[in-house]
Amino acid sequence: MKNGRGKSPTKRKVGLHIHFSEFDLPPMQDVLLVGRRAPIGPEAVRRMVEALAPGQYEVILIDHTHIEAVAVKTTLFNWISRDELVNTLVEEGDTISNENSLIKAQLDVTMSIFKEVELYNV
Amino acid sequence: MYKVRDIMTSPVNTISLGSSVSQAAEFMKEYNLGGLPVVKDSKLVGIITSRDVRINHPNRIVADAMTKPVICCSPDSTTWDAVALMNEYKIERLPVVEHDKVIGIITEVQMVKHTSRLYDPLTETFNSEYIYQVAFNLLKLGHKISVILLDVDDFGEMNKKWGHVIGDKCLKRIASVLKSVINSKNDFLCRYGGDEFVIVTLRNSEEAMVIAKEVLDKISKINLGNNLSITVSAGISEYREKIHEAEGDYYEATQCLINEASLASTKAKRHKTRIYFNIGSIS
Repeated sequence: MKNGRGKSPTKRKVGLHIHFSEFDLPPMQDVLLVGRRAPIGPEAVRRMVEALAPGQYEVILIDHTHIEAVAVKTTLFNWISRDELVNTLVEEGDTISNENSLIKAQLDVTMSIFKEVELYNV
Repeated sequence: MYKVRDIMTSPVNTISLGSSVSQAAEFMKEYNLGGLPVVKDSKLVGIITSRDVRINHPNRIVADAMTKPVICCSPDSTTWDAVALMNEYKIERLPVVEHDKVIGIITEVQMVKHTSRLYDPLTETFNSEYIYQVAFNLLKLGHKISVILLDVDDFGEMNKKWGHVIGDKCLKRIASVLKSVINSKNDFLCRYGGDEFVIVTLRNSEEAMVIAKEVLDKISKINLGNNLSITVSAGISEYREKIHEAEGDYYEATQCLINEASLASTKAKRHKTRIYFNIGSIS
């Protein structure tokens, strides 16, 4: 079928793809490294985690060239000391981040225990 | 004497901690502002400047981009105190705070305009407003000061006989001599008005006398051409007591000191003694 000008009419279709998934609450994992010029700063991160996961994260300001703060899930401090964890995160984060970075990190902390127990002769 | 309250911009535009840097930038652009005080529950917590806007991501909240702690002043600070603060911290904006609330702001441009009003371009010295503020501050800090007032002899006659161009030249040469004699750490100079110059000094009256003599000797050697020379009479007053009273008294004491020095210079002129003391006349 042609229109008055001799051209075929245009057909337009819209395709809709929906992908559902669980929302991460909060939208970060165990750790968030905040660069000095990152799109969100430490105060915004603190407000976010306080609103979405009250009491579960601590935002720690860092004296570092390009990392301004580290937000850490506080339960991790049960496994490893605060200073040790923060120093490790900053040391490793330093190599992969810059001032504009906002990097999330997932930590798998495992504890291996070997313990010798005495056998009793019955 | 000018206080910050007299020249500040009020009311002042502020922004909250939770606003974004881009919102702050838009606001500053719309109102042509170089900085915005940041408030939380009406209290000043920081300031976001055009520099902060430039170096921070626009998505950041103001709390993460602002400059803190913020340097501020009271509305009752003198404008000289405000200038000193702005110079010391190299800042362009100074919020004015009263009872923890921001009630105004002063900018570098405002201060330049204000201080230029206190400046005498002919002699390149400050005017009387400056010397009042200097004396006020020195007395407030517990210093003992002397005042030397120098008055050109027959300046009116000189203007009439030789013209105002020569009169201006005379004032310039005198100012130049005064600047060469005083020590900027101890002595503060201004053109008080017309043909009168005032030096407020931390020196005692004997030392002030030495300075005055040196000034008068050097001025007597000035030759304005056509063998036209200048003579100047000087009056000195001294205040040796520490003032413990209310601030208003510092201003009054300054007025008295300058007035006594003025009367002393008149006596010096009348008695042709060049320099006249009015020591201890302020009590």
